[in-house]
Amino acid sequence: MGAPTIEIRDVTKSFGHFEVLKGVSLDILAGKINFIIGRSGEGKSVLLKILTGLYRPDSGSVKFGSVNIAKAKTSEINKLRRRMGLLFQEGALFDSMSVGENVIFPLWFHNLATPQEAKKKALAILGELGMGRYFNLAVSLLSTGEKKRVALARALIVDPEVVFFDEPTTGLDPLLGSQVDELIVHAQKISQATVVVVSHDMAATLSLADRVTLLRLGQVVLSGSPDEFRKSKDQEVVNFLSGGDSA
Amino acid sequence: MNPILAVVAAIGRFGLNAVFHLGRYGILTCKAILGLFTPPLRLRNYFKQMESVGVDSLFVVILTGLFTGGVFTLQIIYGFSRFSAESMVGPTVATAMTRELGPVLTALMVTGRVGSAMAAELSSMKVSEQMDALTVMAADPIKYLITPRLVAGVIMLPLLTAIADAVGVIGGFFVAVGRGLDPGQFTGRITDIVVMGDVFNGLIKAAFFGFIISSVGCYMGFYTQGGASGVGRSTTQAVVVSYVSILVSDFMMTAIMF
Ligand SMILES: Nc1ncnc2c1ncn2[C@@H]1O[C@H](COP(=O)(O)OP(=O)(O)OP(=O)(O)O)[C@@H](O)[C@H]1O
Ligand SMILES: [Mg+2]
Repeated sequence: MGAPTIEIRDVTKSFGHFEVLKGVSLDILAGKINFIIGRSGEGKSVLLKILTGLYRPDSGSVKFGSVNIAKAKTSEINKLRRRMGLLFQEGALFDSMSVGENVIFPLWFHNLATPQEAKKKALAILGELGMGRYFNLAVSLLSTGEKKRVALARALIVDPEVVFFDEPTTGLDPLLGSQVDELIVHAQKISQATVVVVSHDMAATLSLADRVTLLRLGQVVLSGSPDEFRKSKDQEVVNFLSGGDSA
Repeated sequence: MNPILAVVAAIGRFGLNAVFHLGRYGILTCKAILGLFTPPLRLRNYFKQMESVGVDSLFVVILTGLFTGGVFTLQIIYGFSRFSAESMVGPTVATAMTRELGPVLTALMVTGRVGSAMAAELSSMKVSEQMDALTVMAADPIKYLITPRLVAGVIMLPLLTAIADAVGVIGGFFVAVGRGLDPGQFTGRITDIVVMGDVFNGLIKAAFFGFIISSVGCYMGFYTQGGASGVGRSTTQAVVVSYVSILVSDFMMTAIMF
């Protein structure tokens, strides 16, 4: 099938009178690592939820190949979702289940593997994230960074063709952060997945991304390669790159 | 505003609100029922819910049945013995338990234990984006979370009620014997007077109450808004709305059935 390009055109989204996205257009490159950056509250998480069909945009289109997820029926969206993974900003783990049950969930629910295979796979991914020995632990006992890693494992276990990461390294220490970055790149290399990362980590953004998009006031300021960002004279971009390091 | 207008407006708002909630409730329960007919079913989920509705409620239900049967017997044995109607104590207790006390009290106890827990669990899943996580994994949260709870309610409430009925009669028996009644006098005429229909109708009521408890608890949880305080609010609402619905529908079913 191959990972699709995602074409986002003139997407708007308001909550009540509050316009969060005011006509966002951008292309997510297939089989590449796409970073979305922007200040807190600019609508990055909202955009990811629109891309995964959790929110319907007020207008505009989001095309995965021939399917417009902004208008598609739920059954059609679900077909796409079987090829997607999403890491929620807050993890969104099932807190009534153990670490292992959480990670295995998508395999179990859709009957994609035998219990033994599923467990083996889950242990392998958790192991890479340094979470192997927590397999049977209740999720509610984990620290924030540990939850994030379990959620990451759950998003990756189905070998998705398109993966969305909402701030995968926020809340992790620098060492773990770079390990997770490596894992993302690694996962992308192996499966040639389309990867979309929302991040506040400028260093990682500029070194890992194939394409970076900066959102500001509900619109795209610049979408281009890391080099284009470094060379840009746009005041917004310059400000963001210089001030964004610590955020 | 003109006070009369204000009253009319308030009534109108109430009416609109009621229609809105009833409509949304109806759609949600229909979707949950349809969930039974779309694969994958994931039976493990159903058994887990049956355990938490049924098995985990067993203790409170037995306790309730035992004491209700007991206290009911205490009350009537005094009056009945004045008319030398001791042989009617057993049948009266059995009728009351199977027709009314068993189903209604079991439902009220289970609402407090299970209905509120369903509302709390679903609403906290909602506010922590766990429902969105299900949706993104192409696991419909209505089908995954609500359908098994509905099924568990409808299946387990009659079973719990049957147990409460039996335990209630046993409780009554011990109280009656303690008060000097002959064991044979208590049991002798029960089967003459209590017919299968009484038991059966009581269990039908129980199944309906089970449906109310689960569907209302899930509805309140599913449509929670706003953080931890929303969780608390929907839990309370689930209990209050279930209580009222159980009592009102009990009256109507009784009027139709008996
Ligand atoms: N369901 C919702 N209802 C109302 N407002 C919402 C909703 N979801 C998001 N918003 C608003 O949309 C705006 C953008 O939110 P979003 O979570 O996308 O920000 P973000 O760019 O991800 O920020 P951060 O970097 O802090 O995570 C916020 O002001 C938020 O209050
Ligand atoms: Mg965000």
